[in-house]
Amino acid sequence: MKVSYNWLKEFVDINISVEELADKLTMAGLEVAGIIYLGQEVENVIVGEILSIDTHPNADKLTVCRVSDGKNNLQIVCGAKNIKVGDKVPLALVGAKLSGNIGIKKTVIRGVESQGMLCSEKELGFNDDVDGILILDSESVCGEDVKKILGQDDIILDIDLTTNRGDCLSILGIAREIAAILNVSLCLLSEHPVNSFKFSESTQDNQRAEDINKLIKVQIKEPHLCSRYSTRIIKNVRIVPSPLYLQYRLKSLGIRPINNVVDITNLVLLELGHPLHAFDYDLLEGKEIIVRVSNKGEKIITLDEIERNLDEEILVIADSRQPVALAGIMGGLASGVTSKTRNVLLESAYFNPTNIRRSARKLDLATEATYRFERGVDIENLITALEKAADLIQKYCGGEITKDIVDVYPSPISAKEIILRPERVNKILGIDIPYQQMKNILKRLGFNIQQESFCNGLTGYRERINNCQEGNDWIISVPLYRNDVVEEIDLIEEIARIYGYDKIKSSKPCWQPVDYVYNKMSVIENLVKDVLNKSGFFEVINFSFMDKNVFDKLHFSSSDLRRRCLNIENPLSAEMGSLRSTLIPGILENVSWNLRHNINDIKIFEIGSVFMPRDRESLPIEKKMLIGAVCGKHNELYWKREDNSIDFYYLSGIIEALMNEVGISDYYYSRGEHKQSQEDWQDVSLSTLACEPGVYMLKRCPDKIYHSGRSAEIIIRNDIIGTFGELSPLVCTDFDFRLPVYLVEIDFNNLIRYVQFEKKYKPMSKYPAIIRDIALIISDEIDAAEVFLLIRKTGENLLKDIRLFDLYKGEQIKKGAKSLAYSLVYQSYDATLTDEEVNKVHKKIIDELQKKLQAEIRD
Amino acid sequence: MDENKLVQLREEGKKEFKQVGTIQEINDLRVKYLGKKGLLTQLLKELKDVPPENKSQVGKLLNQIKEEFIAIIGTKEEEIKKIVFKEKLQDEMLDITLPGKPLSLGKVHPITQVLEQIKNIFVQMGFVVVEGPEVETDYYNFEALNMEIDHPARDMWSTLYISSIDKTLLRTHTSPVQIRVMEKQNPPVRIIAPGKVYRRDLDISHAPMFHQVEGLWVDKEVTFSDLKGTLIVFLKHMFAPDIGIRFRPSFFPFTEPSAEVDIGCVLCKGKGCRVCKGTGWIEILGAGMVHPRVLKNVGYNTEEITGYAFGMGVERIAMLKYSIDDIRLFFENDLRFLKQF
Repeated sequence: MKVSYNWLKEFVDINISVEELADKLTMAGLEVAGIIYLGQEVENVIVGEILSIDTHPNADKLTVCRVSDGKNNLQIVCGAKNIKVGDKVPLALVGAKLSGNIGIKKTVIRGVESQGMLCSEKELGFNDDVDGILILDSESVCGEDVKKILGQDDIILDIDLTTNRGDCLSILGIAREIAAILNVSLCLLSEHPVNSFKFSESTQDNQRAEDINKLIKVQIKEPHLCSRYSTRIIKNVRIVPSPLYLQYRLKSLGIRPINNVVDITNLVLLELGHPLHAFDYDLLEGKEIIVRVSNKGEKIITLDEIERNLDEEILVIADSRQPVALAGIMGGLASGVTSKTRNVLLESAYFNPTNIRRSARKLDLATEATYRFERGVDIENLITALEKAADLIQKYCGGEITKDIVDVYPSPISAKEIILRPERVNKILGIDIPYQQMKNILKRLGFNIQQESFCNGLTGYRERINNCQEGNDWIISVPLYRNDVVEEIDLIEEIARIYGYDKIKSSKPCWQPVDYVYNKMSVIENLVKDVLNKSGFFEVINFSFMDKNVFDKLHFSSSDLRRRCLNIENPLSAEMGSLRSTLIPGILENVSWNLRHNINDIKIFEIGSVFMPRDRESLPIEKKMLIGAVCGKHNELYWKREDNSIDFYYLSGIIEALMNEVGISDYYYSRGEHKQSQEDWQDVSLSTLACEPGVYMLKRCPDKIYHSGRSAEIIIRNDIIGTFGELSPLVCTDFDFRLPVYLVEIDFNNLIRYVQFEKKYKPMSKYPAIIRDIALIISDEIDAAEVFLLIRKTGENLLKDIRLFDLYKGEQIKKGAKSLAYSLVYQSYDATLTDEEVNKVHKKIIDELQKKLQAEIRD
Repeated sequence: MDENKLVQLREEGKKEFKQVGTIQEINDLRVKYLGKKGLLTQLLKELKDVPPENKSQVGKLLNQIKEEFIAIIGTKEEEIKKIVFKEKLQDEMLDITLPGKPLSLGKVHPITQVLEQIKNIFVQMGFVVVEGPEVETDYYNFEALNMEIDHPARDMWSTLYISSIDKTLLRTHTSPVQIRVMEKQNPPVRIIAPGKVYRRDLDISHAPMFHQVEGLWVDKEVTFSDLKGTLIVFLKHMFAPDIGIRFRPSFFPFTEPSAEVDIGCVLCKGKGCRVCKGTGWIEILGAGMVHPRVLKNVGYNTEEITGYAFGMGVERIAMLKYSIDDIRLFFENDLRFLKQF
């Protein structure tokens, strides 16, 4: 909220600089976000009166004016067309400064001397887009500083108010705070030096004044939505633009001037924080004000010329026929004040904050009025605001104020009372503020400390009586404008913030250990991140949103569960319309982004949640997933030639490393050593191996997002832990990828069930290992896993490791076959193996391979 | 056997040994003189034919020559080996300035890095890391945190809703985790809750999704002064031991007294600049004493139990630390960006 420093000074005596004030306000919880110095660039511009306008002898478009500065007459050459003799205008004297660092010098323009310059608002920097000389109010006195009479010598404080401080949404409110902070007294409105009240006097003096009760009848049908409604009528007003200085006061605080009556209601709104509304009295049907909820189907065109449909929850001000205003939100166009208005009915009321807020949201209509009403205005202040406005209207718009006011206030609200235990203040804050100082702070803030010795009989606090200590507890009555203060803790905060947070000493935290919490998921997450980082993967973070239309692009089948995603009711855009049910679109977008920026070697991953609706439960399933994407080369360009391109097996190796890190091995015996004894290996098949909790298997993946021949499901027992492989060429085309892209996806919620962090030491064999190579040609149809398993089973427990070191397909061997070469490592824990022992097993392996797999053994 | 002949052999031998340049030549000479059929070996064999009166004289000389030769060979061998070794090293010399084999290590996202740093500091102070769901109910996100349905404070967060019927939404802050933890656990509670949060905003300094870390300490006799102490320790660790820190009053519905914590501008060191909007201070976190109504909502005895809570935006801290001026950079995931941290 913007606040005028000059205006504040009308209420409170500020004896420090504006910067110091801003700092003190900030440190008391009213954060000053900016200080704007108005008219800083303008100097020496005074009011001048145009005495004559003559044509310029040498230029058609220029005129030569004689202008009085109050003492002397000056000759000014001017190009503007909007001036006439008798106008009061801003006169920049020689030596004056204008906006944009322009200095005024005595000049000769086309042979005629100009002793200064007449200024537009733009040249003065008061308004960016208004050309033409600024015509000042005719009452302006020649020679006076223009900056001063237009209030442009002011300083504007931009305060970021917290939502609880509705009481500070006015000059009065901020002034009250300043008075409390600076410990000075507030100059109350009744003793206001500038605008003293004359309304009653003028009313009494005015014999023609009519009794308001004969002019209007006010009825509140919903007292819980409108606790108080007061009104006053001013007759025979003249609606014209407000005096310039008034317009400027509004503009510098961000409000657009309309006409004198509306401007005055806004001025009072800014000054006292109470929203008022002015009706054209003559347009009110039946001379009746009814505060009621809208009937279904009723409509109103509001002042912003928009037709609005109303419902039974929206409170309206109606005349006998129809709604004439949205209560506390905006007036109706039909009953508004226009240049034709003669008689004005002023409304000053109190509306239920919750209802105003709800209605404003429903209508999507936020105004200065709703902003204040929904934060709660001062119900006591409402008459003051009404009277102030009436006074100003009479002053600036003429007319006669009718006798008396209508004030419907069915159940007056009294001040809240709160018990404060001063020792509790210090207990919460952890310091020792003397009680006297606490009292002083509360008094400065307008709180009344009623009594200090007993605290019984206060309704609502009976249950606390036991906690009351006679003689120690204070009963605090809260001024009505402080609707944010409702309980003891609120008072404690008040004391703390005026005392000063910076004065509260900090204590070194000391603590007892809390119970140990083991978060397995985060341990896994960190391990996985670590493996991937070491392998050159960068972590990415994507928004949790996605566009539902991406599913087709990903070639998800129509029954794919991931198509069941959660939608956002009020998304920022269609692209962010749903919560992601898969991490794939995000990471593919990242691949795309990088490819578009000529980064072709990509290794990235993300760990994040996907969301799936859950039947009969309001909160969805949140599954933690890993997604990885790779393409291009797996290492940076290097001058030594080596195979560097990413393929299926690159990813397969990463997955093996990942799995090993969390205690899961692939079916290769060597890496995990899950099977210990010879017997264990007798009847092992691939499917039984896959049932081992510590072993994962690969199966072909049916997901259409992948290349069907180059993708796999990672399976432990019957759970699909994840998938990986080459992206389907169709998807690549859809995403405009010019090179193969590989994905890996792992479901942490499934993985976590098989993670095994326990590690046990196994002794190393003391005896040497014997290595025998074996090369065989078999049908291409036979998977490496089958060969492996047969060797493994046959090799019994002498066989310690099986390493595939070569794979060949091509011209050297027959079509449909492949050549595999293995190194078999034999070793015993009990003795040095003899050649015979090894030969026996090795021979058996060769026989089995020949017999079972029709392998051709090469020498 | 002529003694002169022996002397001549000695001289010839010495001369020949002197001229060798390779191990092969040495070996050849060794064979020539000392081999089975070598000249010296022959002479030694012939010693038996030498008349007895000369025998010892000649024998002595022969042995002397043999030992001399062996010594010369040894020395010469060493010499040549040294040279050969030197040449070998010379031959194997590399251009040490050629680029090394690239070791491409990946990194976690800068946000994760900052998050880890924050977590580590608080874990050292005895806080336990807890997570909560990202889709929340209205109750946990607002109501339990002392924000009734029509509370104006709800405007502080522009909420993304999943279902207004079910009252489900994307959590606007990590504070609901406070409630979830306190509902299940009795004091002392000392947690931090990192995670993603969501708001309906998108511009240079606001992303619709970002990360927060929530902190909560609830126990007997936890005071505002403790809150200050904890956060000061944290900020000094996070930024610099001499960083300016100020606490100023603010408002959050779920804490009271509430504070906004500022640090001295890291860019201008408090002189005033664009980043701190001329104030010399940068807002870094929100905090306060847990509101008694929040404690009451989870069934704690508010007379006995007090506590503090705080929350901070990870992106904001990362932006300050790394001088990043557009929050959207974090979510573009451009590798040229990610590799910088």
